[in-house]
Amino acid sequence: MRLIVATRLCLLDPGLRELAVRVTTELQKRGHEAETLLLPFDSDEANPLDQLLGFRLLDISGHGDRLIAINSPCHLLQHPNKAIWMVPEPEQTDASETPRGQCLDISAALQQANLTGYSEAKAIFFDPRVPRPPLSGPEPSPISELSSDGLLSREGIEKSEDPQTIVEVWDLVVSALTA
Amino acid sequence: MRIAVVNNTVPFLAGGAEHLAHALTAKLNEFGHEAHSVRIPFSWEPPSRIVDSMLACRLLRLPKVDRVIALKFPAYYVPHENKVLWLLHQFRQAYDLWGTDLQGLPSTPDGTAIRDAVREADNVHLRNVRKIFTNSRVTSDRLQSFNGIDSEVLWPPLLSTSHLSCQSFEDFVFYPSRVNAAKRQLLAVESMRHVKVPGRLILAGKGEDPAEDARIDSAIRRHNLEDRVVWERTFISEERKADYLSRAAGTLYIPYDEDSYGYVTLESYFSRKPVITCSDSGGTDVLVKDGVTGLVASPDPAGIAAQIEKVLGDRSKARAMGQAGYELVQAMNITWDHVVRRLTE
Repeated sequence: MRLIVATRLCLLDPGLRELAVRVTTELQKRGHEAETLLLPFDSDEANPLDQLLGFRLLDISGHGDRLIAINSPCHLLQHPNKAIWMVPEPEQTDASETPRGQCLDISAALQQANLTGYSEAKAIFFDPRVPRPPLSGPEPSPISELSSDGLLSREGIEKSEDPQTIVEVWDLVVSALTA
Repeated sequence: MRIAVVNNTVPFLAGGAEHLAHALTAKLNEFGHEAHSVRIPFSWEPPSRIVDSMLACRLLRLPKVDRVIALKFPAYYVPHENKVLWLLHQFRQAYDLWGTDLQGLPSTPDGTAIRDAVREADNVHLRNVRKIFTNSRVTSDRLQSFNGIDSEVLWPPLLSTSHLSCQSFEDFVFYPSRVNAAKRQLLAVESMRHVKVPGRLILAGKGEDPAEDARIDSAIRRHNLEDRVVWERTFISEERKADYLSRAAGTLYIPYDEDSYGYVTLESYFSRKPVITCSDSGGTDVLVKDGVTGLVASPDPAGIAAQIEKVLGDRSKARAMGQAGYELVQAMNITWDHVVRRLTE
């Protein structure tokens, strides 16, 4: 399978980038053709709606058999076979989807954008630490739990005494994301 | 300085521009900057998506970056107050290719509107940057003639030259390149019929079009050139390519009307080997000076054969032209030191 693994590029915090690159590598190890796509995003902008529209307008629909979109706003990218994986934000302790200090109009628009992104997905995976937003729509997408805990070396599991454990965890992740 | 090198990407495809972006990012880091490669997906099919992609680029943000170096349309629309361009391509379908077989855009009111949107966006946003460099004189000339915008040519260097050397001048000319109709390997093969001195043509590169591959194979058979033409049909490794270059009597590079001089030409000169090109090959004329650093042929089998004979038949002349080519590259300052300095000033 040809897969695009997309997340946003934050130059100062490499967490999401490292996860996307690692997912790409693990897919390749298991015989898939995979490519990482890192898209720039300014998380500090009080009104991110322009940027969300920018993500929405990027077209990758003709490429790859599946898009794996890690976190917002990559969940807005358009692809006929999109899987979304929501993992805890590296810089946030509570994974609230509504940035601080936003007016209600923007919050409502963000919520609507999220619902749109989710409603298009063929599969949605939530890390257990990320609160699930209320989903609605005529055909809610299948939602599963998929932990990202400890999938990067600095977070523990790579330090496991047993390399087999690491392989098995990644087997699980890859098999979920490509199912 | 924290730098974002911004380029387009088509997932699962990598061409010359991607390699240049990768090389530039690596070199910026080597020179002590913190550089990141940012690739923005771009689709031009259906054409209506082109304008969406342009708008998407305007809406993206690159925070916490001191400088943006943008390479291609429409990625170069990404807003940043400290942006320079190292322009490899505008959207040529809206400019010099409009009205030709390669126009791509439909000749309808919608197609014309897209063309005009591209031109207008370039006119506005390319004036709003710190400085524009281009990769070739042709790109600079187009930008000036279509948009009235000045630029400076910043010649793209090779990523690495340490593996290139001159060992000998053996009985073959070497043509390493992707194999397709625009690179004209078929013409190279047909030239070998007319070469009267001993020697072979070695082609290296993967075919991109089975029909063109078949035409080349058929020409080799039809003219009984099996002993005179060798074709390595793979993505040749850098080591193997360097080995061929180090032993060849000269290099053949005869594409049709390219913008730039082509990396093959640079690789040949770092191996101190002369380059044979054609009078209609485009940007190769920047480096290939007829009778000085190489030979310029008329674009027909007999014309090319005559120049191949000179390289195979007079090794001391070949050696002198190869050395002159190397010295020209040095004199033109085609180095990463120069590129990095200009792009970060």
